[in-house]
Amino acid sequence: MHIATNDTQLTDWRSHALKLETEVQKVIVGQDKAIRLMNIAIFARGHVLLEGGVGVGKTTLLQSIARCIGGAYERIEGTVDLMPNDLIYHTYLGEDGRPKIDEGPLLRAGENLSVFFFNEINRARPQVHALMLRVMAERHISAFKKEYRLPHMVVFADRNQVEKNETFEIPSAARDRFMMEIPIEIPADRELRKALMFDVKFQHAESLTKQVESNVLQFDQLNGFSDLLQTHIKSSNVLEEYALDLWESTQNPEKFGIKLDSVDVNRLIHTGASPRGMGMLLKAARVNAWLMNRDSLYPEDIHAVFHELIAHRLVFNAMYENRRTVLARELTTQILASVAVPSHASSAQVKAA
Amino acid sequence: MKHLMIKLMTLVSLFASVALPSVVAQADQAKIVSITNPNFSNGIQIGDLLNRTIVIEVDAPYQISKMALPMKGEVKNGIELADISASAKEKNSKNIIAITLRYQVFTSAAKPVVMQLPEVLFAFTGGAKALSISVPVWRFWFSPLVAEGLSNAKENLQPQFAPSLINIKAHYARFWLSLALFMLGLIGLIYINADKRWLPFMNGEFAQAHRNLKKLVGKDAGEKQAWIYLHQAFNKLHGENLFAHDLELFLANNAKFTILRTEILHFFEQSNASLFASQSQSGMHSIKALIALSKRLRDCERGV
Repeated sequence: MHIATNDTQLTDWRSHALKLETEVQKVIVGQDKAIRLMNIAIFARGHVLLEGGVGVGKTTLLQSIARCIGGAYERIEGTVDLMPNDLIYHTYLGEDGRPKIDEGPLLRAGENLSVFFFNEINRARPQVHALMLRVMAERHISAFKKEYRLPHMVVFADRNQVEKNETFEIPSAARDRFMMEIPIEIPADRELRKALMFDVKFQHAESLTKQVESNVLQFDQLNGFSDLLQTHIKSSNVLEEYALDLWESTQNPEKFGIKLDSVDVNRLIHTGASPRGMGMLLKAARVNAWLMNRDSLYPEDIHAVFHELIAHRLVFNAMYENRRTVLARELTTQILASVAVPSHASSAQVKAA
Repeated sequence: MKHLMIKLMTLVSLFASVALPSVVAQADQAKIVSITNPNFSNGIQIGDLLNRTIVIEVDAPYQISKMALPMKGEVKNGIELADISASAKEKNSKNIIAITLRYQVFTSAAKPVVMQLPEVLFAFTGGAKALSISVPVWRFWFSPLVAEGLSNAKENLQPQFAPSLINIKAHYARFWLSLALFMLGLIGLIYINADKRWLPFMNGEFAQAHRNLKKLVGKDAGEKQAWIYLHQAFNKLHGENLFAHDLELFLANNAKFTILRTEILHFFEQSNASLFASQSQSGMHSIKALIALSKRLRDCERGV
């Protein structure tokens, strides 16, 4: 009976998840992969860093998804003078002329906060980063002599990599808190570009977002369902060996015969993927397996999220750091192409048996 | 004495009056049409056979007198008549008579000497008068088998006439063509069916996988190893890890495997189910299926 209930839950939630994608795809064109990845992050309960140029639709995408998730949506703009307390409270003069203090965007909705959007996070100072990262990790904060819990909150942040003035690079420890860094690129398809230029519906982001059906998901049940989903999807020994090889390859790519053009691979990596990063990788991969209507993890599930989960976690030596976006993508591509599955270790084990 | 001389002259004139008309008649009534002698008149050695054919034309009703023909077996100066035959036919009131004489040399000499086939006289009967015709001798050089006083015959052996050879060029051509076709067929059969690396291009990735898979039959834990062998073959051929979602790229780069698109796709589905999912098939059935698939992939690899 219990198993039957779980199966029903899995099926129902899956149909909701796929509906979320369909709804968002109605208003956001050419970003199917990004939408799928964000859907995975929502069900894996991970925070997302969006990376892309100006005016590519990041905000519209986030607002559409927030509408589908339901719950409260809050947003803050990253600026050079933004301070941590701006997230917690703000002060103003009341009607009676006396100063008043009100809860800031992070606390305003309380436990109903489902999506917190930090626009241009790299414009904010490291102090703000520190606060955000703590809240992202712990999902609670103390203020006004009490504890505010934010159990359903996921943070979507974006960073503009075009401009460098008055920006603060997000340190590697901070990047690691984000489950994924998803690139938002301008669609290459000519017809889509034409539609984005000439179809007037894309000119009004607010009305566009309203076309998306709201509350497709029940935001306050996502945590519970995520736990169920994670325990439901199984992985075989062969796949676990493969995941271990992938992890090792992010630390010692030369051991797997990985080569990059014009790069000394032996000196490229300073720090590979973290245990938290690899845990998140498998978590996201399980969600992908569930979306593909499977109850076992396949290598394809890991591949579906590997770039977006691992690339921003790699720390390169200083001489390569200024080329990190290109090199990280190239390295993760080479890792997937070179690390064998079934792994050589699996093969040796089978032979020994 | 004078009287004796007159008598002698009278007898001579009388003989002349009787004999001359017959000689004249003989020259008119019988003549040699042709004599065919042996081709070579030198280098004749002991035991050689020499043929002589004489064609004589004689007025009818004259016939050759068979009683007067030379006797078979006659030996004259070391030349034996080994055989004789005669035939006649009538043509325009003439009889054409062909006589073949076959001689064999039975003599010995230490040095080359001149010898001869003997003169033969043929007589004709059936007419009013007796006729005869003489065939002249035919001379030739007789050669000894070895020179005189030789201590080592081998050094002085004379070359014989080379035997005429049969033209076997056409047979040779057919032979080499057949041999070439046979070898090509043999190589083709080996190329198609052989497991071992006997020829270049035979040790492809799938040929190796097929060999390894066949060794797994009946082994414990053979099924997983079987999947691994085939995956490794695909990976090596593709140059990197090959997964189901890269299949189109793989087929674009290796078009000869296109005919097995469905089978390869099915392989990846089954492989995922076997290696990564809980449900797996019977090991032996799976290994047999993989051996069959690897053989088909090997055939594609070899282009057969």
